[in-house]
This record gives sequence, C-alpha cells and structure tokens, in this order.
Amino acid sequence: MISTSLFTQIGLDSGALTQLGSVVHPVPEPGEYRGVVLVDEQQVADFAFVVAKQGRPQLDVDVAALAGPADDDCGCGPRADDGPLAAGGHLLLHVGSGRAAYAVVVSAVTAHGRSQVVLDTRELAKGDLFAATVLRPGRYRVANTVTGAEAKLDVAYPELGRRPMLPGEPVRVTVGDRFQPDDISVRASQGQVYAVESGARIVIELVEPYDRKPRGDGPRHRWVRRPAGR
Amino acid sequence: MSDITIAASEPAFTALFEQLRDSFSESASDSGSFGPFTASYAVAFHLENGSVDLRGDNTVRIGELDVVWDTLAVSLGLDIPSVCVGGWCIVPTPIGCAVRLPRKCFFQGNPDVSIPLDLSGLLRSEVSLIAGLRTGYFVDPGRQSWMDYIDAENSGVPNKWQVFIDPESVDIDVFDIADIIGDLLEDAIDAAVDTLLGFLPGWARDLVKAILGPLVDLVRDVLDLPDDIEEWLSDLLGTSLGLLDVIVTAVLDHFLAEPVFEFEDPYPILDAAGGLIPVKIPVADFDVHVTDDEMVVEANVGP
Repeated sequence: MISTSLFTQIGLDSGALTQLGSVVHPVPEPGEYRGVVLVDEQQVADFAFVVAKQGRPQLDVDVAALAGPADDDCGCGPRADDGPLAAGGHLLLHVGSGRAAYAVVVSAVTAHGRSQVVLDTRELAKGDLFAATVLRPGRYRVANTVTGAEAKLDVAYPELGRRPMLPGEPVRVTVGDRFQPDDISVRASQGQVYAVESGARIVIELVEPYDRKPRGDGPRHRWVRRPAGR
Repeated sequence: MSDITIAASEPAFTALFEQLRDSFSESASDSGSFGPFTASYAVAFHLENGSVDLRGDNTVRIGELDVVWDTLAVSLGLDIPSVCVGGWCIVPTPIGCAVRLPRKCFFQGNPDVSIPLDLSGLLRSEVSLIAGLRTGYFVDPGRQSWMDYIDAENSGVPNKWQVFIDPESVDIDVFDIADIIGDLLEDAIDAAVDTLLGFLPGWARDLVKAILGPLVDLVRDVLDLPDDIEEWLSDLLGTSLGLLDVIVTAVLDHFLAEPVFEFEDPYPILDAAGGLIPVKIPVADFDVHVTDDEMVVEANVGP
C-alpha cells in the first residue's frame, strides 16, 4: 500500500508540524518535562519525559501517534523504560503518519509544581532546528513569519538517471532576521535544516510547481504545399 | 501365414499420424515461488508439422513436431523495495550523528508488482519421439451386456481393434525464445510500475522512480537475471516451472490414449441389404509391425 499522505504535504510550517517537517530542541538542563500536543489550538495529547545527567542523546516523540487512539503499546511516546534523555541531548518532535498538523509546547516542571515553557513550536527560539523535506518540485517562498525574513527555495524536478537518485547531504540554513543563504536549491527529497538564531516560525509555501513537460511539446515541422504558379 | 494382411505405406501412415496430431490440444497453468519472486504461466498449445520415418527396427521416428503456443502468458511477481525519505543526520558531530531524522516511507511494506509477459508467438519448441506400435482391443463402455455385435453396431458402440503409437523416448528441444524478449520485459516492467503508481501525480511517480533507479536494473537484481534473458526465461519455464514435463506428459498421454488406426471387430464385409443382416467376420490374433517403408497389420479370422 502506498502512503499518499506524504505526497499531499506540499507546504511546510514549523508551527504546524506534518510528516515532512520535524522540530529538534536541545535540552541542556536535567529535570522533569511535560509536553502538550495541539491541533488547531486544541490540546489532543500530552506527554512527559525526564532529562538526566546520563541518558540517551536523542528522544523521538511521534506526536501523531500520541494524539491517535489510546494504545498503551503503541511505543510512540517517551516511555519510562526508554530511559532519560541526557542533559544536552535533543528532543525530536515528528509526525509519523496522517495529514493533521500539530503544534507542541514543552515545559520544564520547576519546584512547587510550576512550569516554565522551554519550547513552543509556533515560535522557535535560538538553538532550535526545523528539519524539512520537500518532495514536490517547484519554486517556493520560505518565510520567517516572526521577523518577516524571506528566502527562495528551488526544488529541482527529479530526473531518471542510470543510478538510484540520492538526495545528497541536507542543506543548512540559519534563520533570524534573515535567511542565510536566502537562495536555496535542493533536489526533491533532499533535507533542509533551518537553525534558528532568534525567534522564528518557518513557513515554506509553493509558488510555482514544476511538472514534467508533456510529450509533444518539442518543435514541430510542417510541410506546406507552395501556392500554384510560384 | 495370417488370414488378413493390411499394409499402409509411409505416406499413408503419415496421413493417419496427421489426424492423430491434429486432434491434440492441451492447456495448463501453474505457479511457483522462487525466493524473491514468484512466477506463473497459463498456456494452451497444439502440434503442427512433424516428419514421419518408418524404420526397419520396428519403430517409428517422428521428428520436428512443432509445439505451437496458442497462449503463453507468463507473469512474474516481485516486491518493489520500499521507497523512503528522511533518515539523514540533523546534528552531525565530529564523532558521529547526534540527532537523526526518522525515515518516512512511501510504501507500507514492500508492494507486489506483477509483470505480465505475453510470449505467444515468441517461443518455439519442438518434440521428437521414437515409438513402437502397440495393439489394443477396445470395448466401448457404452455397450450394454445384452447387446450382440449387430446391436452394438446399430448403437454406434462396436468393439474395435486399435493401433497405438507407443513412445519409447521423447525428446523436447529447449525453448527457443526470440531475442526481443529483453525489450518486451523492459516495457512490461515500466508498465507494471506505472500501474502500481498510476494514481499518483506525474511528479510523484517520477520521484519514486528516480529514487528506485532504473527499474530494469532493479528487477534484474531481484530476479538475479543474467545477461542472457532468453536462456534464463527458458530455464524458468522449462525446468523451474516444469513446462517441459507438461508438454512431454501431454504428448505421451495423447499418443497412448488415442489410436492412430482402428477397425471394428467383427469386421464388416457386406452391409445389411434386402432384409439380410450384415456380413461380418471376427478378427483375432491382431498384430502390427513396421518395416522400412510400411506399417503392416496382420490378423486371423477367428476365433
């Protein structure tokens, strides 16, 4: 069976995560953390995890699975037996399936049960990363809706070659008051990592799709009988 | 010295054989699993041509008997590897990757793709055989116990003496497959994958195909195809799927079950006429042998 949802996700938004857009958040401080998953500003799931001095370097959270039907065995959220995330490690928020768009707010639980927001995907902060994969060939506009900065993104049409197409190394872009670089070219499916320098919500919008030229668009040759007498 | 001797020249025997040959047709289908792929066939075939040689050692050689394929449909089934994106390193470090993106795959599992090949007209096979001749006595199962020979004749169920071709050895040439099969396979692979991805927009199909790489090479890898596709397909059909055995068995069964020559017992001498019953003579000690240039049937009037 083919997962068609991947092909329908043409645009990406770091504040509305879909399957092809993930957020990475470094967590330097040990402690207890809680996350809330939102769809259209409504809470659909929550989760908790622990950060310790010793632990795993990367903690993946599939927010779509968390928000799905309750299933203790889904293995989708942080589990106690996964062990804690190491201080200085990274929390990776991704969408494993479906077409919904998610926002996530993560808070550190402080003394006396209070909490302090350390991550809101609707406005990423310095140190956060937005990992994007664009499949649909075309010309895109990339915008930081917090600062108004913009960049151009060109996603080349895939060409059938003699060997399987490799997407190549991901392109790395810094985002703050401006994008650096601000003219980005990638292959379809090549990764893009947006490293946030200051407040950012990164939106990638299709401006002009690229499609394969239909056959028959080449030059035509027409023979025309000369008028009589010439 | 026999009471009755009937001889058929080689051309006459050839005409008898051609009737037997033309009454043959067979259809069969089968499938098999061969590790990374499956294959199946559906065939229907008949026989044409063939040379007849009566030999002094009491055998008949039938050569160059063409197996003509009315239907030869082959289907190869294989899994297309899943196509995934992501999985790349988000946070590289000097000692490795600190954070890696999960992979997202277009396919859930490895989808099956079926590659149909119509080989009708692209494949030639020949059968040749050396056979003796065998006699048999046929009592029609439709003949009732109360019937005498006249009742049986009137009901169309008389007893018969029969002569059968009794193969001693059957040879079948390996399949000779036209060399355009390579092009045919490439076209079939493209069409099969286009069908699999047909509901996707063009750019998505091209993306999946680009990631998969040249599909013919991919299928070649899965099928473990050598450069000589014709020989590979010939082995697959003939040996792995047992089509050679199907042909040999069908031809053997036909020759063993259908007589090349037969006549009634008792044998009619005069038809019924003028209110008189037909005149028939019982035949016994029926035998057949072959010389260099004739089939000779001998019998006695008996019992």
